[in-house]
Amino acid sequence: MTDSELVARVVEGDHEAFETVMRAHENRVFSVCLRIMGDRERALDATQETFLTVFRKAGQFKGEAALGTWIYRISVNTCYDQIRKAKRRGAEPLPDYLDPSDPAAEEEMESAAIRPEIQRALLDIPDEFRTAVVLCDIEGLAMAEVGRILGVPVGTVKSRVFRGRRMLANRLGNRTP
Amino acid sequence: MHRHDLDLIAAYASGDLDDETRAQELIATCDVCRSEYSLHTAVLSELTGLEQPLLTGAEKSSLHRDIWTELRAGAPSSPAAARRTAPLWYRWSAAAAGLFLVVGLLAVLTNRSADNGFESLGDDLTTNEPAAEDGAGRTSADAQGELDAGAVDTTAAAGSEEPLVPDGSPPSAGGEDASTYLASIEQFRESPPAPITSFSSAAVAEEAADCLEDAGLEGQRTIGEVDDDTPYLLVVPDDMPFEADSPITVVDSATCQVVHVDTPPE
Repeated sequence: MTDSELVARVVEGDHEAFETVMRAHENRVFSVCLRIMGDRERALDATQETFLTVFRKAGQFKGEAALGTWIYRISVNTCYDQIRKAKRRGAEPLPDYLDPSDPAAEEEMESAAIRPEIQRALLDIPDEFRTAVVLCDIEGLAMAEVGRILGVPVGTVKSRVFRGRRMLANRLGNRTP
Repeated sequence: MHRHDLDLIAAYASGDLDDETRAQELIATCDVCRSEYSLHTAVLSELTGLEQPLLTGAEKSSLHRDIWTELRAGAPSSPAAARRTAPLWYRWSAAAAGLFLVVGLLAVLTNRSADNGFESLGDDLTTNEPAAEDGAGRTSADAQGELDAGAVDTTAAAGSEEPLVPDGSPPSAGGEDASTYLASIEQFRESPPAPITSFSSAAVAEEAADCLEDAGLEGQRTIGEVDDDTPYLLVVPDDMPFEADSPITVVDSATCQVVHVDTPPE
């Protein structure tokens, strides 16, 4: 079944079709949200909100891009939305697992599968650079696809990835003289 | 002295170059370029090949349960979607609700007939169980169709020209803070925007138009900038220039439902 056919079934009200969409994409969506948000609970919220939006906007999926690309786009926008809301509420403390003084956060660190200092550095760089690095370098997507996800030219993706890496390196102290 | 083509070096570190000759030359001969290469490879070594974090079984179950709970609690995706297709679970749950209503009415009528002397009606309904079931069966089938329409009507009403909150008080639509659009409305009234609306892309413009159609506001126009992240569309009638005292309709861009109609105090 093609992506368009599957989504058409979702629009028609096929419960199982939407379950299929969720099962096929939930881990990937969660992974991206976790890397961008840096916190498991927020990533779960963003994942839920992503699929709610997928359901609500299923009628707008034209099939021009792959379903995964379309869902990635929704998840990135959802994360941005939640980050903006958090900023409007004021600065929030680091999640416990990123707190260097909290040794009990070992399990949380392992679940993110990324070293805490890397995740801290990621959270410290601008959202658009972090997203580009997450999608290209961590999720392994081609720059062309990331461009489609973000709705920007490939050149812009490259610029964000390269600048994002430089910022990460500065924060990690990896820049050699 | 050559130009440090750092983006070329970065692309080389990413393995994105078809011809790596130039990059390799620069790295071999230029300290700055070599440093740039080390930077990117060091960062990439930390980021690539990581295990994908997975949802636990409990998290998946909870996620699916919460999503379906939210979808059942809220309106269908859009009035147009509801008109075309209500999800099967929605039709069946609506039909079940209709059946419950019919049975309840029958119970009331039965009691009333006993009390008020409409015994023939009550007897027919209460003594003839197969007829009652048939009646229920026929009625539930009819009810399903009607409830489909009813469900559609209900949903359509949500997206009709009638605002959800006639008194104009800001509702809590979709959990979004009403101050998000109230501040924009205040800004537009202080300084009415030019008639041209800015969309981030043609696709966004098309989506906004579809959303307005779903909300029963086809032909009206949005004001302000609209992109993929815009939570609310602010809409004004198209047949008049926007002025400080024009009515502004607020549409939730996720559900395409009217959540507020703003008219300035006289």
